[in-house]
Amino acid sequence: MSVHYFMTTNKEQLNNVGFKTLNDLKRNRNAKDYIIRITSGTSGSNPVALARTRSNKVGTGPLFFYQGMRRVIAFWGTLNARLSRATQFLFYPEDGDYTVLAVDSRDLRPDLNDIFRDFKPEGLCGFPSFVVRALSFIHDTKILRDIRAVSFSGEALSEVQESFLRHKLPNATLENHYASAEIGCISGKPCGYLLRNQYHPHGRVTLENVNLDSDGVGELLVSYHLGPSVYVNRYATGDAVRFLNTKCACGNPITFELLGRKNFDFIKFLGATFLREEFERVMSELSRYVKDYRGEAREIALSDTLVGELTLKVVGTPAFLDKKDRKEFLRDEISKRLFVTPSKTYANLVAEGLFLPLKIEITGSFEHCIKTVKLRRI
Amino acid sequence: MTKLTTLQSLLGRIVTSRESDFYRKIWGTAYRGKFNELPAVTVNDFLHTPLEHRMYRHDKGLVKIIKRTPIQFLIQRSLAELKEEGYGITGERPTVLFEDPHESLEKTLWCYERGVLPAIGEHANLSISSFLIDRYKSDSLLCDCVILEKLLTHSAAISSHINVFNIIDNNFKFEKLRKLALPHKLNCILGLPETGAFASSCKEHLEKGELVFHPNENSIIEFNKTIIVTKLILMPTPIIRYVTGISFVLRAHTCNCKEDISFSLV
Repeated sequence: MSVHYFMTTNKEQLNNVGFKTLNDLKRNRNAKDYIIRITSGTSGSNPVALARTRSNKVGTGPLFFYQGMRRVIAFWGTLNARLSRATQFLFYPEDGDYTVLAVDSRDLRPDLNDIFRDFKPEGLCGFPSFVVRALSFIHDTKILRDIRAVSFSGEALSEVQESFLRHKLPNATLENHYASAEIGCISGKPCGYLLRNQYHPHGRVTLENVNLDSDGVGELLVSYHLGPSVYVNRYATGDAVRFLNTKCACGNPITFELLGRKNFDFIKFLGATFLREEFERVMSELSRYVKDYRGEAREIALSDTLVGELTLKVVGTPAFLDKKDRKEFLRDEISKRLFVTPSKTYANLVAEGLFLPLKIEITGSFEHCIKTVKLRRI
Repeated sequence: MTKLTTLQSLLGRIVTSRESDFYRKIWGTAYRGKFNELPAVTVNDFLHTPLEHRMYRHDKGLVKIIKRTPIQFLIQRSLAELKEEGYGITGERPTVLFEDPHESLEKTLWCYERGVLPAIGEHANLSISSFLIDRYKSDSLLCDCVILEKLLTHSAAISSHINVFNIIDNNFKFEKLRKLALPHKLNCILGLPETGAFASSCKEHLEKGELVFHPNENSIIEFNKTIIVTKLILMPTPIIRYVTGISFVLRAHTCNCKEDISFSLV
C-alpha cells in the first residue's frame, strides 16, 4: 500500500482530500474504524467534510478515564461530534458494555433532572459550556455525587467553569482534552501535572508551532494520518499555542498551552460564537451611530449556573451622542441583529437566560495598537 | 423459524426473565392463555416505569429520550439487536438526518451495524447537511417526512444522486412525498421512536401512487382500534402488544408480495 502525502495546509485543500480514505475502507472493510466528520463553518471559514480513522481506541485517551463505569452522558453541540464520542464508547473496547445517552440542546429543560435520575450517569463528557448548562437543571445531590468522571474537549475550559464543576460534582475527576473534528485527538492522556489548557501531544500527531511572536505564541500545525494511506502534512489548525521549554514533572518533554484562536477573529463559549466578521456587519449597519468598538465577553457564576456577559465599548457619532436613551437603543439594535449561532441572535440567547443583556459603555477613543484586537474573552 | 415460533420463544424469555418483571406484573397469569389476550401496554406504562425496571438485557447500547409532550421517558437499544431492525436500504454511502437527533443517532448506529459508513446530518443546519450529502456523494438517505421536505426545499439538487429515500415515520403526507421524490426512490417505513420499525411500504402500490404497508418480518401487527405492535426481537425495552395510537384501514391483498396483510394509514 502506498501512502499519499498531501502538502495540505488549509481547509480547502483538506476538503479536496477528505474522502480519499474511502479507498482504505474498501480495503479493510471495517466501517467502524472510520468516522465522517464535518466542521460547522461557524468560525468564519467554509465547512470541511471528511472521513478519517478514529483517533482513540481501548486504553487510551477518554476511554481509559471511564474504566469501571457503564453509563455515560455525552454533551456535544453537533450531531457528528456526538456520534463520534458515542461510537468510541460503543465500538471500543469490543467487549465493553457502555450505555450512552447523547443529550441535545432541546433536552435541556427542567425535567432533565428526571432523565438523570432514570439514567443514573457515572460519567459525563462534552463541551464545557454544554455540560455546565445541563448541570444547572440537576438538583438531585445523589445524582451529582454519583458522577465520577467528566472529560471535555472542543472548547477551552475556563477557570469559572472549572470552579463551578468542582463545586457541583464533588466526587468527579475532571479531564481536559484537545481535539478537533478534522484531526481527532491532538492531546494525549493528561498526566496530572498539567495546568488548565496545557497538554502533551497524542502519539498519533506531529506538532509544529510557526509564525511565533515575541511571546513565543504561534499557530499550531498538525501532521497526521487521515487514513492508513492518506497523510495530512502541516494542517493549519488556526489555534494559537505556545510550547513550554521545560520538561513536565511526568517526564514528557513536550508540553504546549492552548491560547485561543490565532487571529482572535472569534470567541466561542457558552454555546455562542462571537465572530468579528459578524460584529463588523452589524456595526456597518449601525455606522450612523458607531464609529468604533471593542467587545469583551466573560462568564459569570450565578447561584446554580453560569451565564455569559458581553460588554461593548463604543465610540459614538454625534447622532448617537445626541440620542435620548442612547445606550438602551444601541443595546437593543445590536442584540437583535447580532447572530451568535447559525440561527440565533444575542437577543435570543438573552431571552433563553444564557446571556445577560448586552452592556454598552461609551468611550471617547481607543488606544492605538499595532494589532487591533476587537474581541476578547476575559 | 416462523413468526409464531419466534414469538413463543420471546414470550418464554420475558416471562422467565430475571432482569425485569415489568411484563409479568402487567400480564399476571394471563401469559398462560392466548397471546392476543395478554393485556396490551401503552405509553403510560413506559412513562410511569423507570428505565431500569423495564430492561430485559444489559449489553452495550444507546439510550434515547422519547418525547410525549409534556413528559418524556427513556428507552434503550442494544447494538446486538439494533442490526435486526428494518430501517430500509442502506446503500453504500448513507446519510442519516432526522428532526429528532436521538433518532439520527440510532439510525446511524444501525448503518454501522450493517457494515456501512454513515454520514450524520445536522437537523438544525440544512446548509451543512446538504454540503455533507453532496461531498460524501450519498446514494441513500434515512430521514423523516418533515426533514425531507425541509431538505429538498432547501436543496432540490440532492435528490438527483440519492437512489433511495428511507422515510421512517408514523405519519406520512403521501401527496407531498410524491411531489418531492420519484415513487421508485421512496421507501416508507412505519415505526415509532420507542418501537422501531414494524411495517414497510409495498413497492407495487407505490408505483401505482398508493401508500400501502405490509408488516415487517420481525413484527406482529394486530388491528384493534389502533395498531398494536409486537417486535419479535428481544430489545432491552421489549415491545409486546404495544398500543401505538396509529389509525389504519385494512386493504385487500392485491399485490404479489409474500406478506398478505396490507393496510393504509388514516
